[in-house]
Amino acid sequence: MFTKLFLAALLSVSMSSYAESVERSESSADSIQQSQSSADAKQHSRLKSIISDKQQNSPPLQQDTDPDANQKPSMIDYCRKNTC
Amino acid sequence: MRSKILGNVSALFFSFYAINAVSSPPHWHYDEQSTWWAVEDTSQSIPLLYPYAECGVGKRQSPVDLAAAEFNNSKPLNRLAALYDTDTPTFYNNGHSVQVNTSLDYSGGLRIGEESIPLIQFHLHEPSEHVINGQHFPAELHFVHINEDGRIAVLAVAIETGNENPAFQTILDNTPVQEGEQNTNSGVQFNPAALLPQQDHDNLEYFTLAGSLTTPPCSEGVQWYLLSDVITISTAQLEQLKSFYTNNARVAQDLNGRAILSNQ
Repeated sequence: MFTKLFLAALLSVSMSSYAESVERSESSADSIQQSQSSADAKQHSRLKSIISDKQQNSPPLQQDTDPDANQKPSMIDYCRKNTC
Repeated sequence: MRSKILGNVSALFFSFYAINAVSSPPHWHYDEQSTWWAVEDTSQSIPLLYPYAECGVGKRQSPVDLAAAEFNNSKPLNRLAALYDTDTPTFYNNGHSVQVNTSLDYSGGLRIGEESIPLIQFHLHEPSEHVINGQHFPAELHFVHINEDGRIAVLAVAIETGNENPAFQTILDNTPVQEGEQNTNSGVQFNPAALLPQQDHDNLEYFTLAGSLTTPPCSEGVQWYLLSDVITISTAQLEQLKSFYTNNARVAQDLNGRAILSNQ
């Protein structure tokens, strides 16, 4: 009888401590996620500001770096200057 | 398999390079064509040191010996139409051949099925580049068409000696004798269609195969259309052509399994 009571008490103590630890880890995960998403948001806004700065400083950049745009006339030009 | 992949990658790489590094190509000569692949661009380092490598490693090179190919005329092919109109072109001695450049706003071109590709230039080779059983024609005319995305189609016409050709004479008379010189102010009105054989220009009879430029950088991805009929020039005109350039023809290249399709 005494043994049964002891085992029941032990079981209830271990279950409550398990529940407590799960709760704690969930709350810490939440806080990590919150801090990470705020860091992400900060980085994102920094990137956005860098990109917008670049766009303002060099508007024709996209046109100049398009490899197709550079290639299109070059083969025609080459064949006007050379036999082909 | 591995070497095939490496070959394809290197061919692609060199094609890309050839298209991009076209501003000042290194010199080459017809009498050294077996070593075109090894011509060095000393302003570059390896692998850009060898801008004409595709001339050696390419597997779909031009010209070819037509007699060595398997012919197939059972497949339906695109209708081919040479829609050339009159132009005021530039006559150009380019250092390797007699060439005629169309004006920048020229609207003529080659229609292949539903697609039209503008005519950029045409030039001459003496003797012909394509051969039949190793036999050359006296000369060959190449009409070079390039569209906006860089796709190239060349219409080739074999030239025999026979009747004098007035349109051909116009080219000979207006091309500068000096290498590298252009005659931009001739004022000559010229229709390139005058250099085509007497057949329906809206529905040409042709042979076609995949190939390359026949001069360095020997870039592949060129679709060749060889007309089944020839044009003629007189022997005097052939001699006059030779006075500009002679033996400016690349030797026939391996077919590597390519078939020639025909619409006849």
